[in-house]
Amino acid sequence: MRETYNLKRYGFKGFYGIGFSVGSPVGFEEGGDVAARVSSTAREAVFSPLDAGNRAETVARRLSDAIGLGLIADGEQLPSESELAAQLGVSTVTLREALATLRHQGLVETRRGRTGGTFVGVPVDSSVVPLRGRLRELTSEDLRDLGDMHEAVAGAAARLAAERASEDEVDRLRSHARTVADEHAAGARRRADGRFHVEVAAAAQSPRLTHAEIAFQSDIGALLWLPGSEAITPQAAAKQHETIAEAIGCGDGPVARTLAEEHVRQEMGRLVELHLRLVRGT
Amino acid sequence: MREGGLSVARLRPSSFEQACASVDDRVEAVFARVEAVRRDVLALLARPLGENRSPRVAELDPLQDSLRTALGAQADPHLAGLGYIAEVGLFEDEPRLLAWVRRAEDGALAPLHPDLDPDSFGFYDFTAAEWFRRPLATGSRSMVGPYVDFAGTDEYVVTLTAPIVLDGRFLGVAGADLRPGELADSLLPGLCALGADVAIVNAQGRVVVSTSSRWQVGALVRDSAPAVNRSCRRAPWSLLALEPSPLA
Repeated sequence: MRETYNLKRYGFKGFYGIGFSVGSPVGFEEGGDVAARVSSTAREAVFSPLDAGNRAETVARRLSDAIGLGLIADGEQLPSESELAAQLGVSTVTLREALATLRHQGLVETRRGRTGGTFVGVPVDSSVVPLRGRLRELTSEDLRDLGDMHEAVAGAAARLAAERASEDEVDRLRSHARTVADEHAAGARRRADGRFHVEVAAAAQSPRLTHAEIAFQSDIGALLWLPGSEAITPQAAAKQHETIAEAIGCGDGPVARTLAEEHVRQEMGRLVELHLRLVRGT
Repeated sequence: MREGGLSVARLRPSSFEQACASVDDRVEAVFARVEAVRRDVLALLARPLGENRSPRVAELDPLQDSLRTALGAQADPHLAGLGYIAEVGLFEDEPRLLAWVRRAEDGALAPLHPDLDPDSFGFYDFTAAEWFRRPLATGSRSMVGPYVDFAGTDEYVVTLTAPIVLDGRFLGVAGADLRPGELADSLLPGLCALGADVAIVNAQGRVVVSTSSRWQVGALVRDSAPAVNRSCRRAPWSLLALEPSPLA
């Protein structure tokens, strides 16, 4: 009960609370970019109505996921606002709010005039395409198992760090906790995020846990930070890192472990959702 | 410090002084190796720098042989690695340079090639490491750890470094790594003879070597009132005896 209390105290809860509607699986041929392989039926499903009660944030998230996963391609024009709002089953006010969020994130741009409209504007980094392929090809079981392993490593590392981190090391954890939110490029975010986790394992004084954390970060880390479909928002990641660093700084091993486990479990849960969206093509 | 209690009276203070002295001896022996590297590097870099030009990596080649000799099979103390880490931008043909030879636990020697690309996830950012920053900032030698040297050797090590300075210009650090386990091999016989559960801890109170499973290597000894607490003279370490072992 103590852990539950503490988790509430640290303000942990789900990130998005979004339910994804289940579409029928789409058959893929091997090779090529994901976007190119998505059938038109599946593509329409991207714009299928949202459950009642969802708001602009959910619309923005669904669209940015689709962009990040390559389901809507760079340069593609979105349907008109009224059309898109109708397809998603939201008001145009809500849709505009969502589009403003996406514009702010640099994922779409709106052009005025006769040839105007809202266009996807994410320059496709050459490194993103193989990552999308990798996320699709890993099975849900692979992802769950990798998540189990990471939870064990990150949880144990956080508990031991709470026992063993020196003041200098706690200071370093605190200073690395927020860097993920300060970075804007995907690669830099991914390095900043991975670096925090590796620092926790190093503060645990365990070379083996550190190796395991580095191996996880090298293997899966980049998948957490696909531009547009991040497994966690940089702000949420920074906030959670801070609470983990705080628990370590307080020397509270059990809480540090629970927070770290919860953090990586939520990330991996989102990764499974994103994987399933790629498989479904919606 | 709580000394002179009944239980401690059975421990001979002189033997603790002696144990600290043997720790200092080991540490000084390692710093002697570091000093030799410092001199070698200065000798190799004096010429290009004297000619007012940036040195080239190839001019450092002869260092490899002397590092290998110092780490060879007969070498004592056992080092985990030895070498030179250059100040960023010093060399003409390499922005970041480590001339470091690593000795595996089985004695095999190999040059260390960490990832020095700042944009890579595995980037070895040695300029942020205390063993690099402190000699740069203070001009004095430093002794850091034990710590997990991730992205570098990926081992749990103690790192000893000394700044290399020529005409007021910082050229980098000479350094050596020690494995706590190998240090324990040479120190444990003497420590076990003290007749108490003892630990050598660093300035943060982190256990480097211990004769008891109650204080594991890497653990922090906090809030304890050691029966004996002797500071080493040369190493920034202390020898603690928490209480006499019941079997002593």
